[in-house]
Amino acid sequence: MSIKLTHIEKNFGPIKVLNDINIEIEEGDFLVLLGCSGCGKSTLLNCIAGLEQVTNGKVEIMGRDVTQLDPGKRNLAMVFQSYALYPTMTVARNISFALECQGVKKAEREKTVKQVAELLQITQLLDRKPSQLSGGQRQRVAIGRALVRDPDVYLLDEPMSNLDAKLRSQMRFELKELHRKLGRTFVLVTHDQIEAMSMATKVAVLDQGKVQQFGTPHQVYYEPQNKFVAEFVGLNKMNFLEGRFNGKDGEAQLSIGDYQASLANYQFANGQPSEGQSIIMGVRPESIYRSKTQLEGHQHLEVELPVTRSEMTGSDVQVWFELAGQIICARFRATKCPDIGAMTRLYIDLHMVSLFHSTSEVRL
Amino acid sequence: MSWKFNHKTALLYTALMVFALYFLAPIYVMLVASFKSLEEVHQSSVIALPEIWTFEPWVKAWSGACSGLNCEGIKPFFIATFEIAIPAVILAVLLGAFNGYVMAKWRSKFADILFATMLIGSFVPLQLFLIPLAVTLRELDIYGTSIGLILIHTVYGVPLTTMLFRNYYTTLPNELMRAAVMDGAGFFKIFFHIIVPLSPAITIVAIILVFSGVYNDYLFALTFGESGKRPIMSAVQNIVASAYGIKEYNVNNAVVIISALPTLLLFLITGKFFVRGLTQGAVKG
Repeated sequence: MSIKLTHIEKNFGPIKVLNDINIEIEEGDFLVLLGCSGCGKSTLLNCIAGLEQVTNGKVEIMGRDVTQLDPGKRNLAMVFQSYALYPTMTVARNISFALECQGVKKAEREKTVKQVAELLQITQLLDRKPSQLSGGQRQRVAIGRALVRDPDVYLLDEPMSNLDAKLRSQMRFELKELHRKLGRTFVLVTHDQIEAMSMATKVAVLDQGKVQQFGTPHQVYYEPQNKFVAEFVGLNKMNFLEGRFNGKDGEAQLSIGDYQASLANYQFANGQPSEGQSIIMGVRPESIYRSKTQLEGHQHLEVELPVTRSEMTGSDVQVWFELAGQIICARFRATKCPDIGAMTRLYIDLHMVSLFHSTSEVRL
Repeated sequence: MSWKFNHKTALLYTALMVFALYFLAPIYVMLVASFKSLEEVHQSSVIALPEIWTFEPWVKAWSGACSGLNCEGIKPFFIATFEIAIPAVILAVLLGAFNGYVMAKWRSKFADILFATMLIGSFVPLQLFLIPLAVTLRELDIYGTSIGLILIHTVYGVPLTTMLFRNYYTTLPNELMRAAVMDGAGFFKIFFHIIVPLSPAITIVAIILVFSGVYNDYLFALTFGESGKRPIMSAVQNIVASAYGIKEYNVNNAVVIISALPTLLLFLITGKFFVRGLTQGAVKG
C-alpha cells in the first residue's frame, strides 16, 4: 500500500470541500484525480501533500500515518501547475534546493543534479534562470525538482495545463515513461480525460467533494457507476435514452418508445429491476455502428432513422438522430458528412451500454 | 507605441517645458547665488551668472556657518543625520520586509487586523506622539540622544515599510511558497533564499521613502535631538532663519543645496529601480 486515505473531510469554514474520501492505492500505481474545476481534486492533492490540513480523516503514506506531519517531512515531491520555479535561482539550484534544505553536501548535490539533468535532457540549461526557459523546458525543470528528492510519491497538480497541445501529448508520453522507469507512485490531478485515460492505472472521478467512482480507466469508462461519471468521462458525451424495464415476456428488455432493446446480456449489479421501472440507458457514440459486421455478433438494437444534424471532426463525423423523441449522437469513420434527412440504418451495440436508475442515477 | 509629431504634441511639449522651467528656476537662482560673493549677491540680478566665481560660500556653509553660537557649519549636523538615518533605515526596512513576509505569506486570522492597525497608526499626525514619545524615551533613559531618534524613526518607518513589502509579497505566487514548503524549506530559509532575492526593487523604494522621511524630519529632530548633534533639518532652519547679523544669502543657499543633495542623489541614482519597484507586479517565471 502506497497511499491510503480514510474518511478524509475538508471544510473551508462552513463549506464542505471534501466529503468522506476513501482511496487506497498500491506502490507503483498512477492515480489520476479527475474532475471539473471546483470538485475538490486539487484540495485533495494538497491534503495528501500536507499543504492543507484535513478537517477529519487519516492520510497514510507507505504505511506511515502522516496526517499531522509537515509537508517537507512526508517524503513527497510535487509538480505545480505554474511550475513555481524559484525565479532568482538557476535551474541547477532550483533542482538542488530540496537537497540543500535536507543538508546534503555540495559535491553530492551536484552529482545528483547532473544525473537528473541527464535523465530529463536539460543539462545544457543548468546555468539558466527560469525566465530564460520555454514552457516545456520549465516543465522539465519542475519535474527535475521533484525527481532529485527520490520521493515515495510524486504529486502532480495539472502539470500540463500550461502547455500547447503538441507538447502536451509529448509530455504525457514522457511522464508515463518516467513512471514506468521509476516504478514509484504518481498522483496526478487533471480535468483532462485523455490524460486520465492514457496515463492512469487508477482513476478517481470527483464531483462535489465526493469520489463518484474509483477504479481502473477501463472500469471508469466502460462501467460508470453513476450517470455523472458516464457523462463526464469520454471525449464524446454519452447518449442517454429513457425507457421502461420490460421483463414479462421472459427476456429482460428495455422499451424505448416502440423499440425493444434486449438486456439479456446485461450484468445487473443488484438484480433485475422491477417491471415497468423507469431506466436510463447510456450509449457511447462509438458504440453505434452503421454496419452489422462491426457488432462482432453482439446483441444489438437495429433502427432506421433520418439524420438531423452532422459535423465533421477530422477523421470522424458526428451525426445526430432522433430516436423515439430522444436525441442521440453517433460517431462514424467517414470522410464526408451525410446529408440531413438521409435515412440511416444503425446498430446499437447492447454489450457496451450502461443502465442507470432514472432518479438516483446509480448504475443498475 | 510611436507618436507622430503634430500640433497637439507640439503644444503638449511646450506646456511641459514651461512647467519644467517653472520648477527649475528657483534651483537655478539658488545655484548662481551660492557661487557669488555676498557683495555681488546684493548688487547683481538674481538670474545673472556670477562675475567672479567663488567657492567661499560653500566652504563656509560646510564648516563655518553659524547655527546659534556654534560656528562649525553644517558638517557636524550632516554627519549626525547619517548616524541616525542609516541605522533607522536598515532597521525599518528589515523589520518591514519581515513583517510583510509574515503578513502576506503566513496568514493568520490576525494578519489583516494587525495590518489595519499599523496603517492607522502611520496616518495619525506626528505631533500626537510627541508627549507619549517624550515620556517613553525618558523612561528608557534615551531622551535627547541619537539612539532615541533612531528608535522613533524605526518605529515610525515600520508601518510604511510593512505596507510596501506586504503589498508586494501578496503579488508573489503562493505556489512558490508551497513549492518551497514541499522542498522542506522552513520559515527563515524561504525568507532569505526565495523572498529576499525577489525584493531588490521594493527594498529600494522602502529605503528611499524611509530615508527621505528621516532626513526631512524636523519635528522629532528639534524635540528629541541631541544638542550640538541635531539632525540636519533643524540645523538648516537655525542657520537660514537666524534673526541676528547679516543675512548671508550666498552661504544660506549653499547650506540648503548641500542639505538637499543626499535625497536628490538617492532619487537620481535609484530612480529607475524606484519606478520599477512602485509598479512591480506578479513575478513571472
